[in-house]
Amino acid sequence: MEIPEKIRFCSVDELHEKVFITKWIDEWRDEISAIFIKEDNDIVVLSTICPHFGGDMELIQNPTRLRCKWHHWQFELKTGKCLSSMMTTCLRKYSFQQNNGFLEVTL
Amino acid sequence: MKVLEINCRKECACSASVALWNYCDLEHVIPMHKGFKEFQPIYETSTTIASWLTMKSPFLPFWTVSSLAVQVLHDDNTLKVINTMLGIPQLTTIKITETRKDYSVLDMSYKFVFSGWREFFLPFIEPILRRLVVFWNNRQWEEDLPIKLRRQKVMRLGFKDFRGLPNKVEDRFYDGPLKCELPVPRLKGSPQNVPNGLD
Repeated sequence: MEIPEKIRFCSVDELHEKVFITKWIDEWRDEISAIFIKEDNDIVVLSTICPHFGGDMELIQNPTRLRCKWHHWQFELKTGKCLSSMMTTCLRKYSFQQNNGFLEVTL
Repeated sequence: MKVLEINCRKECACSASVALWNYCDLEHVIPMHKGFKEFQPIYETSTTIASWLTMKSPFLPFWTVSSLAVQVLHDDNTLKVINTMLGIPQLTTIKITETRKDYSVLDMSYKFVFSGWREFFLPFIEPILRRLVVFWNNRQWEEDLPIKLRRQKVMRLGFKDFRGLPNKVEDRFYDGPLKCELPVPRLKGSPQNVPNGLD
């Protein structure tokens, strides 16, 4: 299977409304989440497979972070850095651009 | 002495090792299972886990019951859990059979031992216990099922614990045998570590 370099992930309006959108991207064999950080008016796109045991993430507030549902490990949004342990493995960050109102994520 | 046996069977699109991992991963119990209020392992080896646990009643969540549970890996695919429920000794057997690749059948048998004066109450308790066990089993299963399925999926993508997926997309595939490392590794400082002084 050919691996696409770019994928159209979601519309920017949808992300502004939902704040947190997660999808399995079969072509890249990864689960990717786009997060709209309201306080900074910023967007980040990260792999949200927890490097601990592979759990899925939820967005928590005050402070805004990603948290693994399975074991409650927390991750910083902007860097993907793990805040719950000395683990050096981070959540993988994806670069993206906004094109015609859509978020295009690059491998 | 009388023994009341209640059986449940479930099927899951995961390997036996993933199902076993799920039972031996102690750190997910409090975040993922609504029925548990407290879970503190006090002894752990590759085959045995003894834990002090406090469970919430399914219908009256403010009513809690504490007990000591001992989980033993009886053979490669069978777990035995020795516990008490409301003062009644209980033996749970969980047999995991991988019927085909990455597909498992789990047979769970709950045996309650009624002795002495408790035998008299068995006819009254039995229908309640049967409903309670099936309810409990279904709830635990539904809470654990997404974990098993996702763990299976990431393991087949070449996921490594504490490291994540391989960097290159081309390397995200693994078709070999899946193994379950026991005890499931935890970092220093995990609340589910056996407290110092109990080793």
